[in-house]
Amino acid sequence: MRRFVVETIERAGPSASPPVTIGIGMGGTFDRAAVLAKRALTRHPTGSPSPDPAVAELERDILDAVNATGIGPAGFGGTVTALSVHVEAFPTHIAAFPVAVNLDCHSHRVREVTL
Amino acid sequence: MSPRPLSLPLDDAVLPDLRSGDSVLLSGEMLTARDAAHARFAAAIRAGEELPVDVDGATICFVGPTPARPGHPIGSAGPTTASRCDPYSPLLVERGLRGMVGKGRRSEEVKSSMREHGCVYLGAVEGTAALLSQCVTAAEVVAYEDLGTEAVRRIVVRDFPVLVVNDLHGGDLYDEGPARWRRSR
Repeated sequence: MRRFVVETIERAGPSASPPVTIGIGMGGTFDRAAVLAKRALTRHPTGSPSPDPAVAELERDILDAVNATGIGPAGFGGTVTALSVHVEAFPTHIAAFPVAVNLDCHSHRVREVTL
Repeated sequence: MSPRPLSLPLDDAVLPDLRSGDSVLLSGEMLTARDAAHARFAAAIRAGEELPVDVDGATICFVGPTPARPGHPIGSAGPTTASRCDPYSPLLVERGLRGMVGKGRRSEEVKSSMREHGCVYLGAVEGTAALLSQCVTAAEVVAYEDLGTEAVRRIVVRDFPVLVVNDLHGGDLYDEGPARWRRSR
């Protein structure tokens, strides 16, 4: 999964307007993974770790792998390619493991309202 | 290194001096056009019609600005992803286009056309549209007004900051920058 995310970031390259925020949904069936990726992307506050220690460790590891690409701000090269990685997980069939990656550019703005 | 001031239209003589990674401040006239306007340019060229603007020697900025507030020449004006214009850019480069301003990678076809005909691709920093618009001192629609924000505009800029991404010598900042900073883990 980490390789998949890094490949996604490398393919998006400068077009995604890095440093990006990365929302990842993993598990469920793919429809749920996509919704989880959006929920992960809009996690509030941005940069806060998952309450699940194993998932939080995964977030730290993916962030380091993405920042090791050297893509950097605007894709011009640098140490910060992603500002934060948020992962939301859900149980899944062992043979499936869908993963959805949702990116936002460096102008990542999140607001929270109660309806 | 302090940025190099460059006047627009770009002088053919300075183009070979520019190297990927150079920081440049543009001053003078540019055209704005995004994918919708480029599609019309291409249709006009295929139909053998004259283009509504002269691209020979020109620099095109890939931007669709927001409406101007009263008393301002232009609204928020940030670069869009240049690959949207990749299918059309070589047609304009062949006709003398000297510069393009946008963000994101160009196709191999665009890059080889730029090297062959002498055109540079300059990267503006995305997400800084409000700041960049302060470098625009005048703007007027010159073609395809019905396209709204995607209409072709002639804008006048002063000290508009860009980095050289693709130069005439095969340099590509999107390869060289990350290669310099990549680390193993």
